[in-house]
Amino acid sequence: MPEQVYLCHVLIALFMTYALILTYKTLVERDMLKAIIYSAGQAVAYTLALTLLAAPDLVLAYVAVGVGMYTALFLFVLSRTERFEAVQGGEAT
Amino acid sequence: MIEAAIWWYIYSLTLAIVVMSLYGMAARPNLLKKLIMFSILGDTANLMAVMLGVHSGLIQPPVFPGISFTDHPLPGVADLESFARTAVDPIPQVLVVTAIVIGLAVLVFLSYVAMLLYAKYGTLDVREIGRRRSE
Repeated sequence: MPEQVYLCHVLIALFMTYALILTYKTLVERDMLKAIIYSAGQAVAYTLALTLLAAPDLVLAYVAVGVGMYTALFLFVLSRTERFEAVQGGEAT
Repeated sequence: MIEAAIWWYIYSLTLAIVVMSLYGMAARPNLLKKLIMFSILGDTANLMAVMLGVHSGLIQPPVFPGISFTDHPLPGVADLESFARTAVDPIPQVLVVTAIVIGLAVLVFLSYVAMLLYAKYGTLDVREIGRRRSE
């Protein structure tokens, strides 16, 4: 009897790979506006993973908080503060 | 075998994201970058808690099918057994709904602290804030 492989678990692995790439790009990005956009994309990947993990109630809460509120909050902080991160190890400006 | 390999891959990716966000919180000097990495760490912890309730073969949402607003029949024993054999564990999901909202509240507070620090010291770089505090 061949082992059954679920398509939704393969798709979870795909979306987690996507989230890992976006987290790395958030980590190395100097422009904070681009970092916020990358983290919003990572939240979208987590939302799709939660959908495939059979948690529809969590998707309803997380798509409002993770994609909407986090991004709006970080953009608000960014509008009040500076945009570019200082070079690591170099002289702080 | 393939299913176990897929889950090993998913868990190792989740662990890699946790390590990356911890590194970003510890080593990056910008306070806003620390906040973004903190939010990613919290979401990854929530996702790991949801993954605890999902095993191989459990693919159905934890909502009993066949119940509508107008028609709500009592389920039989066989229906309940087949439902329990395919539905995921609802307890982590119930806990994580609360954790998402609490994480948002904590993040709003930390953002306010970061904006106060910028208003006082004129920078978000923690090295520069420490230097200007000691002057």
